[in-house]
Amino acid sequence: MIYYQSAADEIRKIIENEKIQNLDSDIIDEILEFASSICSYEEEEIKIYPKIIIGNNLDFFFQQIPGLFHKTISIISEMNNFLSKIKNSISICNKDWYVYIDIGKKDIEYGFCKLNDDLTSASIEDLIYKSSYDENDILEKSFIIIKYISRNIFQIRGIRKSDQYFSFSLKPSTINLDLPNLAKCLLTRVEDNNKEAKEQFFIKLFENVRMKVHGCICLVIDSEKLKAADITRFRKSSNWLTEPIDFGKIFDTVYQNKSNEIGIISIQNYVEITLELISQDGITIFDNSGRLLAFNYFVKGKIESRFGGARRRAAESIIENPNEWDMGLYFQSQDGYSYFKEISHEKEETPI
Amino acid sequence: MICHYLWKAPETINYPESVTDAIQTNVILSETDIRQLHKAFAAELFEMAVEYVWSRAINQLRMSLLSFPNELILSLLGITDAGMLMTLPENFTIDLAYETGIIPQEGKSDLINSNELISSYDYNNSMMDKSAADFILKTVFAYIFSKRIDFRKTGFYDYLLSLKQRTAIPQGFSYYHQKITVRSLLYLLSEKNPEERNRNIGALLDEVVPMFWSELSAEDRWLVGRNYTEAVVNNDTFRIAVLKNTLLKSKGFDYVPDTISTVSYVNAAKRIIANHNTHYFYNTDAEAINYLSSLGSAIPKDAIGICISALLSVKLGNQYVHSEEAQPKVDQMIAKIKEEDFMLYFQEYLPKDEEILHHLQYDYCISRFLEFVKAKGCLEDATKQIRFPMGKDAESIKKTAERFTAELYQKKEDFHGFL
Repeated sequence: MIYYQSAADEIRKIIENEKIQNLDSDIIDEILEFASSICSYEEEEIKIYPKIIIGNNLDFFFQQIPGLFHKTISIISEMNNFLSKIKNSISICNKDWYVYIDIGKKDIEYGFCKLNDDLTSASIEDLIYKSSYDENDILEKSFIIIKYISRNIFQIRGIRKSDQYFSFSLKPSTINLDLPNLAKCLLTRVEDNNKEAKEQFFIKLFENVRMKVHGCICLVIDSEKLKAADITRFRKSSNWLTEPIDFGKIFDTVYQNKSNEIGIISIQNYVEITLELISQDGITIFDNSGRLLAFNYFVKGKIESRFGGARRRAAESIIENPNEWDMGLYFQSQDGYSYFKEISHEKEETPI
Repeated sequence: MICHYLWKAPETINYPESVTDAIQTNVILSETDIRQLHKAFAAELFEMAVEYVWSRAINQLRMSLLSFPNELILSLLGITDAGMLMTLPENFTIDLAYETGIIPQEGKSDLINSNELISSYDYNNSMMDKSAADFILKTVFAYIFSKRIDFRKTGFYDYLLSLKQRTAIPQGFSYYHQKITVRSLLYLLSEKNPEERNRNIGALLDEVVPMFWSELSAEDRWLVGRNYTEAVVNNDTFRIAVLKNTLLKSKGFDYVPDTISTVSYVNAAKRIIANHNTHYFYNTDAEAINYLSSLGSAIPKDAIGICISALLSVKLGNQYVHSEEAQPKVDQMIAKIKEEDFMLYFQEYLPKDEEILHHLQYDYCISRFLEFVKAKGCLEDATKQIRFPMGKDAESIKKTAERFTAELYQKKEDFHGFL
C-alpha cells in the first residue's frame, strides 16, 4: 500500500517546530488521524469544513484578539482518544466558529471561539500570524490552526512560522496563490490607501465562496473596454444588476464609520447577497474596479473537453478564446477543485 | 525639580505692568478693536471689555491649534470626536496650547484662572471690578495677542520631526512628557498616507511604551489599547504589528477594549469635561450629562475612569460654584456605578487626573468632595488601599492634590534633556 508518509512526517515536524507541549505519541497519532480525514469530514451527510486550533496556554493568544468570543465546553482528563470526544462538535465550524483544544499537563480543555469579522477587519489568523513573536514571550505557549481549504487540501499554520498546505491530490495545485491573485485582478483599477485592505477583503470573501458555494465561475472584466453594444449583449445573456455592487465604495464607507454598527451590518448583507448570486447557475461577472456587475451569464462552450461538465467547458472556452475585456477567471467545481487564471490576450505568433 | 521643556520652550514673556503696556504688544487685534477696548475701559465697562477680548483670545488660540493636523489634536486630546475641534472649549484649548508649547506653564495657569474668574462673575451676575479685568486683559495680550503662531515654526513641530528620525528616547521624562510623547507617536503611527508612514515610529513606539507603561495613566494605557482595537477593526496590518508587539512587551492586553464603539462613552465624557470648563458651564453641564446618560448605564471598562472623572467634575463644580441643574442626573449616574469601579478610579486614575486634582485644590470643591465621599460611605475607609486621603480634613486633601499635580510635571533625576 502507498501512504502519504511525507505528509505525516511533515506534520510531525511542524508539531515539533511549533513546540506543542504535553503530547505523547498517542495524541500525535490522533492528530494525524484527524488531519487525514479533515477534507472529507461529514456529519449526517452534511459536509463539514473544520477549523481547529491546537496549542498550549491559548488564553495568552485569545487576549490579543479584541472582540473574540470564546467558551470552554469541557475539560477532558482522559487524554487518550480525546478527538473522538470532540468530533461531534466540529460541525459548528460551518458557522464560522473555530474549535480550540488547549493541551495542559494533565488534561485537555476544549471549546469554541469566534470573531465577528465583517471581512474588513483583521481575522483571528491575521492577528495571530501577521506579526512575529519573540521566543521569550511564548515560552511554553503554542498555537497552530489546522483547517480545511478545499476538496483535497488542508493547511497547518503555527506561530513559529510553520505554514504548509497538504494535498491529497496527485495533481499539482497553486491554491495558495489563487485568491491573492484573484483579489489583485479584481482591484487592478483601484489605487487608494485602502487597496491592501480591500485585497484582504476579497481574499476572505472568496474563502467563503470556496467553502459555502457549490461550484461557480467568476469572470473579471475590464469594464472600461466594454462598448455600448457589448453591454447590450451582456444584458441579453445575463442578469445585469440595475446598479453594480461596488465593494470599493462600500468598503470605504464602512471603513470611515467603523464605530457605526449599521455600516458593519451593511457590508455583511452585501456579502450574503454576493454569495447567493455567485451560487446561481451561470457565470458571475465582476470588473477590475471591484464591482459585481452581473450573474446568470451563459456562454456557449466552444471547447470540447474530455473531462468535466458544462461549467468546466464554459471556463475553458473563455480562457482559450477570450474577449478583449476578459481579465481573469475563477473556477470552482462542485467537488471543490478550484483555480484562478489570469487571461492572456497575447496571440501565438504564426510561424513564417 | 521643575521639568524642562521637552522641546524648545516658547519665548519668555515679559509680563506687562499695566493694561496699556499689554495692549502695545498686540499684533492680532485690529486698530478698531483696540479703540473699542480703550472706550470700554474708559467708561469702566470692564465686563464688556473682557468678554469681547476673551472670546477673541480663545478663538485666536483655537485657530493656532487648528493649524496643527486635526488628527494630531484629536490624539493629544485622547478623543475621536472631530466635531469637538471647531468648538474646542476654553480649558481644552488652553491645555493644548500649553502641551504644544504655544504658551508657557505660567500662561496656562493665568488663562485658566481668568476663565474661572469670568465664570464666577457671570454666575453671580455681579459687576466685574477693574483688578479682575486688568489681570484678564494683561494675560490674554501677554500670551495670545502678542504673537502669530504657525504650526511649522513651533518647537513642537520640530519635536515631531525629530521623533521620525530618532531611534531612542532618553529616560527620565516626567509623566507629562511621557503622555505627550506617547500620544504624538500614536498620531504619527496612524498617518494614512503610506509614504508618510515611518517604520522608525513603529520601532520608537515599541521601545517607548513599554518603558513608560508602569507610569502611564490608565487613560493613556486604554488609549494605546483602543488604537490597537481600531487597527484590528480596520485591518491595518502595519499598526496591528507595531501595537501588538508594544502591548506584548508592556503586558498591556488588559487595556484592549473589545470594540471601538466604547469610544462614544469616552467622547461623551470628554464633552462633559470640556463643557464644564467653559465659563457658562452651570447652564450646560446638565445637557452634557444627559447625553452621557442616554448611552446607557453599563459603562464599558475602558471608559469607566474618564466617565467617573467627568461626573466628579460636575459634582465638584469649580472654585466658585457648581451646576445645580446637573446634580440630579449626576447623582443618578453615580448611584449606578459599582464600588469597585470607584475604587479603581481612585487607585489608578485620580493620581494622574489633572482635571480633578485641580478642583481639589480649592476649598469650595473640597467641601463638596467630602460630602460626596460621606454619601458614598464605602469610600471613606478606602484610604488604606489608595494613596488619596479620602475622608480626612480639607488640608490633607489639598496638599495631596498639590503634590500629585507637581509629580505630573516633575522630571526624573537622570533626565538629560532632549532637544
